[in-house]
Amino acid sequence: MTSARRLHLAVADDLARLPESLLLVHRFGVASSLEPRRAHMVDLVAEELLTNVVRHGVAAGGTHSIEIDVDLRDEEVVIVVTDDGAAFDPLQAPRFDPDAPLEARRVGGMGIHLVRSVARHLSYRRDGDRNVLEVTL
Amino acid sequence: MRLQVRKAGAVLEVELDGRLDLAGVKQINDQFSFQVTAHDGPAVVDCSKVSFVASLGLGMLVAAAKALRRKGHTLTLLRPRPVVEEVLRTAGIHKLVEISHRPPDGGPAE
Repeated sequence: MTSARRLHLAVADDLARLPESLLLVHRFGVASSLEPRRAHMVDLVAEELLTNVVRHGVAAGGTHSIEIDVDLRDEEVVIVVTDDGAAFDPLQAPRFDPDAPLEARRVGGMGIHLVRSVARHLSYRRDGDRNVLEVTL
Repeated sequence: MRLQVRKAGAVLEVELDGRLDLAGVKQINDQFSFQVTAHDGPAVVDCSKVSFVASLGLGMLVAAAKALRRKGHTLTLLRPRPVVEEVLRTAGIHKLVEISHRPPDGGPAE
């Protein structure tokens, strides 16, 4: 369901189909009044969070309900990703080190590092049987 | 996502065109990795037509830089757009590889 200022999507729990959902988020940003850099950051946050959730869900097995909401407010954009997988707080994962030398550089954690870096506010909570990640840009 | 590769002397020149996102990386990762790891010399990746990069795309570039480093060679990223360069720098990629804005034909810098 989409209005000019809000997007709500049920996201397939399938990495192969995830680009379909990411394309809808991208089109929503393009069609909105967001300035290009902020629309780009909405794409980035959606890509990183949804990829993380789907991968984590796949690793855990079973099928999960995943949803994303993008809410364009006057001065900010709020992105909420929820899923009914096992409790998992990505903000507690080991911090990515952007200063690590090439030989020691690992890719794990880079996505959430990017989200942390562009977010004004980032929070995780467990709400009933759902993980809820909320990002404010 | 499109990938074009050519050799200019010892240098492998790669041009990327499109979005280095989940779908884009899936499209080109095998060919990109094969071309870079099979090459014995420096590589230059023209990023001027890359409109978006996420962590999967950064991982692809880091893996290429590591493969080249093991052979004593370097990876250079050419002319990333400002919003792409912002992501590269946020991830610390500029500390691993050179990011250059030199023009393609040796003309004046932009």
